[in-house]
Amino acid sequence: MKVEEQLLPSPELKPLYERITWLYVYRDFSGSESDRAAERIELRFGVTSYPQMMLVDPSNWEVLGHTGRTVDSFERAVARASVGPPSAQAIPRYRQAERLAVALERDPSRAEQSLTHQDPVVRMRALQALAGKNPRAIVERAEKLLAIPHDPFRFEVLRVLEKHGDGLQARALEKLLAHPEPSLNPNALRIQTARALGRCGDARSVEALAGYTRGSPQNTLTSTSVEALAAIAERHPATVRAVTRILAEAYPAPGNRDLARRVHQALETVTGRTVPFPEPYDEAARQRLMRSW
Amino acid sequence: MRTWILFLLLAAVAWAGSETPPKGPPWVRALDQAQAEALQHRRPIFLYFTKTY
Repeated sequence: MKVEEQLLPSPELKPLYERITWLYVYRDFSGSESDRAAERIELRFGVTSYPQMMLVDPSNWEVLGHTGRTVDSFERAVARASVGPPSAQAIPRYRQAERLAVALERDPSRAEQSLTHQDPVVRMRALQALAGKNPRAIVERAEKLLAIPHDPFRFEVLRVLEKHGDGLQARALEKLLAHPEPSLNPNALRIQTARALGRCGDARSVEALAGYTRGSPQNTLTSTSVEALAAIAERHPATVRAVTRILAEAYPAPGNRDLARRVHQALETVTGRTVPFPEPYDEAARQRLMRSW
Repeated sequence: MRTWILFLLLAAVAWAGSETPPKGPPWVRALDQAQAEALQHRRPIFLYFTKTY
């Protein structure tokens, strides 16, 4: 069911108008005050893709459920969502967190102290400030920060590791690659983790990435894993043989020429050899290429 | 050809998120307002996140 055209305007949802409070959060990415306020709401609930619909407890921001995209699933989610007793601290706590988050947007000098603040938006603003100002402070705490189950936060830590990380984060990254949950966007989290492993990974990371090189050609994770393995082999010559074997088996089925070219380029980089890429890329060509390395 | 271009432009507009919320529900636009209302009535907040396309 189309969300904006059919579900949300549906007269069947009218009985729910007074059962819940309806908050509309819209991003235009303009960087205006209203857009930054909308972004802070997204950060609070870990939203990184759209549309998203959820029910939350106003006292503690606990997510009580996701409504789905049908009237039935919406009604069931509302029926199940039960809020606890209202907290007298809820409003002052939220206002204080908002003040601190806005202050960090304007003056990031206290970012390091706020990196492990209990409020997710304050933490995120601190992380964003440090990513630009002092990325080493993030790298040194990366394992602990990656354990925080908040998608935007983890994405930002991973982006920092992709540029500034080192081998000390490899184990934490392999763990996240295998178990991205809880996440609203586990595939995107895996993609960014694979990129970070391209910089930080070592011999043990090769097997962690191997399986993802044979995924769907339409999934960016597949090509990202191929390139991450090539980057690891460049830094760790002892892995060249294993990476070559894995990549040679990663040539996709015919019809996926772009991915095939990326696998091929990665193999040339890893081995230092040049092998002509065949046209057309058909099954016979694929089999020849797999045996070429 | 022109008809197809016009169709694609109209489709893009139709698919785009909008600053105006969908008709029907009694929307609020600020989280502090939503929190105060929801606490007063002891009910959950429903959040709908969308963006411009």
